[in-house]
Amino acid sequence: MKTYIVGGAVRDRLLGLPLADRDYVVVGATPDDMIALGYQPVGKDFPVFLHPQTHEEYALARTERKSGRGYKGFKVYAAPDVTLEEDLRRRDLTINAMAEDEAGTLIDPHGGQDDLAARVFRHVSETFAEDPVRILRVARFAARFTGFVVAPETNALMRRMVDNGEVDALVPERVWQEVARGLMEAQPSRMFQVLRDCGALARLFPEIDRLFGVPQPPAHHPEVDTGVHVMRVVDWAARQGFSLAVRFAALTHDLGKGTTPPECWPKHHGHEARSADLVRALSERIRVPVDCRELAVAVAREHGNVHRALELRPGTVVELLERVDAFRRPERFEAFLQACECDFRGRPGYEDKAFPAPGHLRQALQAAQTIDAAEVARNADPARIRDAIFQARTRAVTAWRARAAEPRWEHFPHQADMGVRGVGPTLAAAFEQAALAMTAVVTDPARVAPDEAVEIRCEAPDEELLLADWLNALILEMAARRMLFSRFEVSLHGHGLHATAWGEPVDPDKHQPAVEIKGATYTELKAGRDESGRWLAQCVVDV
Amino acid sequence: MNLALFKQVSDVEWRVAPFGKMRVPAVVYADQALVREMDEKVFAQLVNVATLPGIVDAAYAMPDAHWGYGFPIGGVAAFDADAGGVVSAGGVGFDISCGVRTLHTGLKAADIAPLKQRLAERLFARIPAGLGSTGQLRLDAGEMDAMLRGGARWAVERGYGSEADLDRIEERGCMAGAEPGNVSEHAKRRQRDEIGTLGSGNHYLELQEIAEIYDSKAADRFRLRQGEVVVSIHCGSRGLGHQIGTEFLRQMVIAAPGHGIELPDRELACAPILSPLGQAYLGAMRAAVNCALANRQVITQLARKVFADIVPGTHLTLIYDVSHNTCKQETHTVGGQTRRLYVHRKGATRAFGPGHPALPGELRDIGQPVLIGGSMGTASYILAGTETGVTRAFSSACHGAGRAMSRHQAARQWHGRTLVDELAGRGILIRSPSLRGVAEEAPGAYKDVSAVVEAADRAGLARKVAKLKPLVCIKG
Repeated sequence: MKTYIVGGAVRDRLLGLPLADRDYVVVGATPDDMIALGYQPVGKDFPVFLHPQTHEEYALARTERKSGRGYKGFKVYAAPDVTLEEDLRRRDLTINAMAEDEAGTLIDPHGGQDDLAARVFRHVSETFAEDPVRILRVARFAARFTGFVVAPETNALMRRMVDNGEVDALVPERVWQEVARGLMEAQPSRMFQVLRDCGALARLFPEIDRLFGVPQPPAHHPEVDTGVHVMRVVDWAARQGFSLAVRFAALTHDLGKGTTPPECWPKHHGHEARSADLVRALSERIRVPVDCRELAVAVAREHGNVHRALELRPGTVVELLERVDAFRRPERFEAFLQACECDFRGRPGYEDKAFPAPGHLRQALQAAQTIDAAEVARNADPARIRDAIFQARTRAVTAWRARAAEPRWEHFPHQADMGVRGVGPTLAAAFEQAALAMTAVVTDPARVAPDEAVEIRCEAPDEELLLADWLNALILEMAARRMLFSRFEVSLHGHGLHATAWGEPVDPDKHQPAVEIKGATYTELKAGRDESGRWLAQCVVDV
Repeated sequence: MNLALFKQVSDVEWRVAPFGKMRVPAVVYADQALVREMDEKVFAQLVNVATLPGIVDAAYAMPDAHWGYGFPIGGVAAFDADAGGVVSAGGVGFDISCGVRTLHTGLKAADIAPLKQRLAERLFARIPAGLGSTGQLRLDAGEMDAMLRGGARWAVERGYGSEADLDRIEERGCMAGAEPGNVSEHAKRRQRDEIGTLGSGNHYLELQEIAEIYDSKAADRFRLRQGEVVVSIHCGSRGLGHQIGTEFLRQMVIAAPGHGIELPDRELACAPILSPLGQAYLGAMRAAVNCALANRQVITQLARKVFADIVPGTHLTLIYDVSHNTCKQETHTVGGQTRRLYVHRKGATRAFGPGHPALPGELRDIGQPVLIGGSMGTASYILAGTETGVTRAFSSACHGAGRAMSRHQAARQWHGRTLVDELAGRGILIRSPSLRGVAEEAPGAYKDVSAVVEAADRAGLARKVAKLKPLVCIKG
């Protein structure tokens, strides 16, 4: 009797990956031998035993022959005369068909090492075709070992299996089990790519397959193709280490775009509702667990509203929060926001963009939670308690938004210099406040009389550069006219600015100017909306 | 900063091997305590600098490095024009050629003690400082261009100082290649009557006593004697330089994609040296260098007049004038090869060692004086360039203390009036148009300049020659 480490443990050691579970194969033993040695029998379909101390799995060497369709039809033959080579031969991929004996010698009859070095998934033998689950396994491996490719002959074999209707016989639970594991790997899109390459995706997930080739508006989706978008979204979710439910929601949020009539492309009006229906049907079909399903349906239905959160009226925000059950299920609400953020980031160029919507909804929820629901209920018409609570929440969100957007300025620290920040209900208001903040670097704006008006115009390619231009134009006027300004009126037209600044000549005794400003820099330069929906304009000024 | 980000080469050299898009390593010269105190942003900015096209050898940070704009302040980087190298407006900074010059008075501290008060009042009255102040010169268009082309030489030709001063200024007081035509009307408008003004912020004119001599041979040659008084002037190219920095930064940001340059940070905006924009900037930047040199030269003459009035017979002779924010074409040997490089020093001092042909004869065997400004009320140092400097950061050294806290924090922590009284109690007279400005420049808001100088000395960037302690500070 000899034991060998086999499969994944050997592969991962050769790849230099941390070792997870070790699987052993025992050659030349009967089940009775194993039991006599104290091993615990656990296998139902074939003889597997647990080590009495380590509880690692030891399987007797065996061969398998197919005896029917699908995944269950197998005849297992395990006996002391089955050799290690025979056992390795029944395995799926060459990289998984290596063994190591107790002395550490590698047994590699199928060229697994070469394929590891070449980063290729290659089937061991034609018996690969006997189990369609292996297609899912190869796809899942592709999501884990992101540098590997499927050998052309293996892809051809998988394609034949698909053409023969093998995958149609897969049990739904098993499909979900493999896909769920694949979704939890490093780059889940590669799993779907492998399935697509062999034609299995159209059979297993037609609703995902048909997203490829469906265009979206390039202005919001530089990647254009919906399939490409969805794959980026699911990979983003994986990169953030998000939960299975979030990843499944990421995968399915745009299914409705696959059923948009082509004459409406690249627009997808109402795709959210269609997505939700398709997610329900898909979840039903492959028995997706209820937590994944519920989150995916909510994300499919609401992701458009989340993206628009800052534009939604307070009442609509509260309705959204109530629909996704944010008041009662805060953890799920977080997962919901994570999935929506993946949708936002899963577009080229959006990886680092500001996405204030989730923060806005979190803060709106916080504001809505401040109401005393019991008190509201006591004072309400008993038939209309729900509505009374809704109204109170809406008032709280309205008040929070107004508070957050009140015009104001502040300074923020920079090691050598000073940051100026303006906040307001509009970008123009934020620009005015940033200018006040800049005056405050020099002196207290209240000491500067707004006596003399100066006109300023500038234009820039984007809002951030426009802010820097605006402040630098003021700096030039301050320096050239030896003035300080304390009142500003800004109007913005696209990326053009027209403003009036009011102030008076510098008087060192009156103003006690602390410093002279050299320039507005691009350091910490921001112009846009923040999480509360207010507009913010800021940068560091060099003094 | 997290020390684990670096490979420690020696107790004063910390290295980051290239990773990601870095083309060269990043190197910090500082002791462990200084590196630890540095903002993490210094690391990020230095790494970003190392990604720029055509960078040669390494991106360097001096012991006083801190968070700047694109480049760290205290950053040094050299580029090869023929290898696609760039010039960066952010790598020079807004206050182009801001620098320090130090002059002998030949007077003993004891001798001027009774005159200190009068000197302080008269210097403060005669030398325009602070926001809104104007100089006595008003330049018309022709004179503006002549000044931008001529630098300190222009000032000398108009009676502000003598030929001898020019020997003791980098570039002999006049930066070649200046193109006044590349300087915008806005920039010239800001400068029209700002020649001969100190400006504000950390700019100053100080009377200092030579408190300690570390290297008597070099001190002799620099004519530094313990107990004597020197005058130091710290200021730059004023509004003109600021406006040039602002305008070219913007142009370089917008032009970067067209130049095929991917900017990790907009503030790092740059253009290929050989591009029209790169050349336009160099012409304008050199004009701003001349503006700064002219400015310090005019202020020098104002100070000379005050001294001559109060202590008849005194003549202030220039020891040296250094610039901190520049991009200069210099010859350096890199990997055994002699190359013409564009060396950016952002908050760093050129520190040519002994034998360098750019040094005047009487300094050549000693090395270039390296003037390190302290903060208001703290010590300043005079160092000298070293032979080892050529293998470290293209012969560069630190420039000052570097802030330890923001202006905001400082203004909350100190009260201007109290600070002035407190320093007066220690024999240091402060004169400033703004008490809030004084508070923001509180000595405690800066790092310990001694530690910075010590590290520069130990790293072989420059060697300590003398320590100066302040007597009178006219603060902008």
